[in-house]
Amino acid sequence: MLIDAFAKSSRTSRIGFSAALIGIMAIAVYNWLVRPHAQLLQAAQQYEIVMGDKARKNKILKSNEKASRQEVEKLRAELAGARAGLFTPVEVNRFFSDIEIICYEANCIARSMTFLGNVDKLSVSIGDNKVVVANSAAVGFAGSYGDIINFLAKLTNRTQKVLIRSLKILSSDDETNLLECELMITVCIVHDEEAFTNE
Amino acid sequence: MPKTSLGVDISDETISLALLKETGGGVKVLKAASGPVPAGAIEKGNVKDAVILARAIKALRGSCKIGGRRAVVSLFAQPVLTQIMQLPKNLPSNIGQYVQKEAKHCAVLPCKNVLSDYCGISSSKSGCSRIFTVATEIEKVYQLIRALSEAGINVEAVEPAEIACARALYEKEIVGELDSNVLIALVEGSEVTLIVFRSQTLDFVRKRNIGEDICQSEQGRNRFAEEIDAIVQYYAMEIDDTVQNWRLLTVVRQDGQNVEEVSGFLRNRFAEFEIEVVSETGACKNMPFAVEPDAESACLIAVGLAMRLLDVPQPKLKMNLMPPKSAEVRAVKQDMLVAANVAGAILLAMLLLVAVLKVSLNKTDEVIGQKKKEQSSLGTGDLLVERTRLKSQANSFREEIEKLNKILGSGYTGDWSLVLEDVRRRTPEPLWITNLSGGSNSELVVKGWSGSYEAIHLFVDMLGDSEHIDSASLVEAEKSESAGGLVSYAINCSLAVPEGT
Repeated sequence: MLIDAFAKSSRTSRIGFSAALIGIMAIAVYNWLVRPHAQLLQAAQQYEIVMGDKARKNKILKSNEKASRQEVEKLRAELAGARAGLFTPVEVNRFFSDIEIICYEANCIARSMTFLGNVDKLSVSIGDNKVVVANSAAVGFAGSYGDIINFLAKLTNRTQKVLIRSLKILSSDDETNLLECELMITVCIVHDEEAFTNE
Repeated sequence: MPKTSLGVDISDETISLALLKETGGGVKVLKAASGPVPAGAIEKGNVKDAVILARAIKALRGSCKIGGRRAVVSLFAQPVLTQIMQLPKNLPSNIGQYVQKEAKHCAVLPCKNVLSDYCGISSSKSGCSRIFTVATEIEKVYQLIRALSEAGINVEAVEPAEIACARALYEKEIVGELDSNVLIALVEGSEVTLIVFRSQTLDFVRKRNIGEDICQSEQGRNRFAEEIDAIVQYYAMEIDDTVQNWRLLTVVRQDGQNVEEVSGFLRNRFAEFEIEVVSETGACKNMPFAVEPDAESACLIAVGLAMRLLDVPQPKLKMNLMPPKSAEVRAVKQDMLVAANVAGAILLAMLLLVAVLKVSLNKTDEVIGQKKKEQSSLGTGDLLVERTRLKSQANSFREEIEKLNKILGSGYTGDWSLVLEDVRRRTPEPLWITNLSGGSNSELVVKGWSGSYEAIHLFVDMLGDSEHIDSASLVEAEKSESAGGLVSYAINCSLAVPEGT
């Protein structure tokens, strides 16, 4: 019936009907066949852009990471250097007990040594559960100017840092012509934080 | 582009096909086939069962591999009115309607739905226009077209066999015959169609059933000769034709008939005429073009039918008994074909588009794969975590260094031995130091006695030039009479902070 109606209709109607049918078919085929592929391609292209962007960012991040790593290494070395200037509790005991010997080696006469403890209340916590505490002592000795210089050189020429906080040289009134020297030295001792707290 | 055309001639006993091909070099008969009409397909000159007939045509085409869809078919229907009509002096405005009307009034066609067509022929002696008309019952033609459509043949025209026969013979037998009349007799059993070409123009057509088989019986042949004689007499008496020469060309439609016998008979009877009798399947030499070896038995009428669609010399006799509805159906079919082609083209274009998209997608996938490979094993997240970790580590180190520097860098951090050594080196002769003290604020105070102010000033300058001392300034200088005129002094020095602390 429909075919008959189609055949009996005018040519214009037939063309119109066919065109409409073809149009609907074209839209349907486009939606069913072409569009998913087009959308997939679009998504893939967007993904490609994102990937490119990510690669660029990763490149920047990698170069930053390299720079950061170098900086960390530099800081690590610097820190190692700084840590080397610290005494351990054992080393500090040995150091103070050796001062008289150092005096002797420098041709100086040791007069006095007073332990002042942490007079400046300097203590800081560092990494690895360690705490650094300053420990001071007043050292009195006599010697020639050159011997004093020699003693000071011996005192400071070591891995651990010995800070001379104050120095006083006076000429003595006696006949020995020796100079009297008074020093206040400070050393930094690294303790285990737990052990130090318990003390 | 080569063009092919198929001619289909259907008679009571035979189906004949001829495929013609038109190329740059001319037209040639490419293939031909003939086969018997299957029982039950035809009855009394009409298609009885279109399906059986279609099957037979299909089988014939298949067996001989005859392609070609565009075809012209001979008018196979009964009854058929074949007539020369003399038009009135006042020509009717619509000759087609006039012919239709006349045909309806004819006793030969006892039906309402008459299908007719006509073609102009030479004018009468009195100068009246004449037309050659053919009419038949429309339903019979529908049956014929239906059979051919079912056989997969696209019928473009339905034409009487006599016109096809005249077309096939035209170039070789009619063209150039200006000094003789050509009489073509198309014989099929007891039926004969007589066509006269006068000065290369169709002038006379007569269709007769003489009651006896012309080829088989003596009586039939005599009656056939009488018909010819009557026409010749008609031209001599009625028309006063000055042309005395006649060429008589007899085409016998049924194969295996007594062609030689008929030929001998006619030669005896019309000794003064040029006589030729041919079988319709043995008339290759009468055709104006090359015939492939396979197609030497091509039916003359089928060839004439196929010629209609090709660009070959042919008489101006075009008649098409295609029913208007069939033409409409053809138009609808054509429109549908166009629509189907457009739809197909759109579908193909979309498939191509999909293919292009797929190729692009594959390329993009490859690029993505490459980019994935190029990227480090660590993802962005890992890199960010690593960056944060390094940053926090650096901060922690920096903080610790800062703390340690704070504690280790309190007070003067330079080497006192070097400072003292330098001070000794820069002390002038008439000057001695009695007191030297340095504090945590990087200051050095030097006190002592001097023999002169100049020595003190020199000492200040010398200290000021030291690399371990930033600046040296005289704080106090006083001459003491009690000390024998010596000058006591006090110099304040600001110690240089060594680099890197």
